[in-house]
Amino acid sequence: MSRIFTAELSELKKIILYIVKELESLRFDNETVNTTHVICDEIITNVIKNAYIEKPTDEYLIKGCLYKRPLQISCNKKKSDSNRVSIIFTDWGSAFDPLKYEGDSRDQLRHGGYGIHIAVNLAECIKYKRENSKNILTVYMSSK
Amino acid sequence: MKVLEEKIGNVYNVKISGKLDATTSGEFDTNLTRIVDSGEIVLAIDFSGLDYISSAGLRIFLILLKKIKKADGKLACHSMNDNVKEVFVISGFSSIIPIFPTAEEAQSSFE
Repeated sequence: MSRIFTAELSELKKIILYIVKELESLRFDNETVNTTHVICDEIITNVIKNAYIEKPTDEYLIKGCLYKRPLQISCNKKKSDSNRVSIIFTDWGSAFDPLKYEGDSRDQLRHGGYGIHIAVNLAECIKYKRENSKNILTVYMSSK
Repeated sequence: MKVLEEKIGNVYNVKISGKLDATTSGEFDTNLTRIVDSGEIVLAIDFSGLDYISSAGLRIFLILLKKIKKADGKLACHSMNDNVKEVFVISGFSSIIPIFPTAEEAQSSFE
């Protein structure tokens, strides 16, 4: 199941709440939910602050509707592994591969970019792809 | 997010609780700026009630540390839960910002 939000700071709480509720409905333990909360906060904040910076007023046609600054989120439980979930973040903004932040020095991290560094290091696994002018970031987490 | 303040001796104690993220960091930043600008430069921050911190929250502590160092003051953070501490460690902030397991150890660092 997926949902489309507007990538704005005023929506952050609502988006996080949606993901947390999804995880809770999948009976994820509190510790994993809290960790996933941190990861999602960093990823979503990054999309809000950076993805649409070049085209802030553009509208995007998704499933027959027009959206400004869309951020689509879907939470999926694996059928083969009931303890594992994938959370997919899709935005239509500028290309950005967060995995390339992994090599940054600590000094660079002090000056910004450490949010993504935190997300990448806390997540069990993160995959990125650029497809049809979309950033598709998948975070995998497992319940304990 | 809630902030409680209490001065004991020359140490200004700040207890934060709730969540410190992009939506609450502005309010917390305003509080800390007011405290430091009023001349309180020996700060102990109690994290025992903080459930969660994001990079937006971390950034505030980096700025706070710079201000306090510039004023020749001292900062000590203490009583973090494991999730919050992990964020400090992963970001590398634990090597920059003094973190202590307990309030007593934080107080001792000022002596």
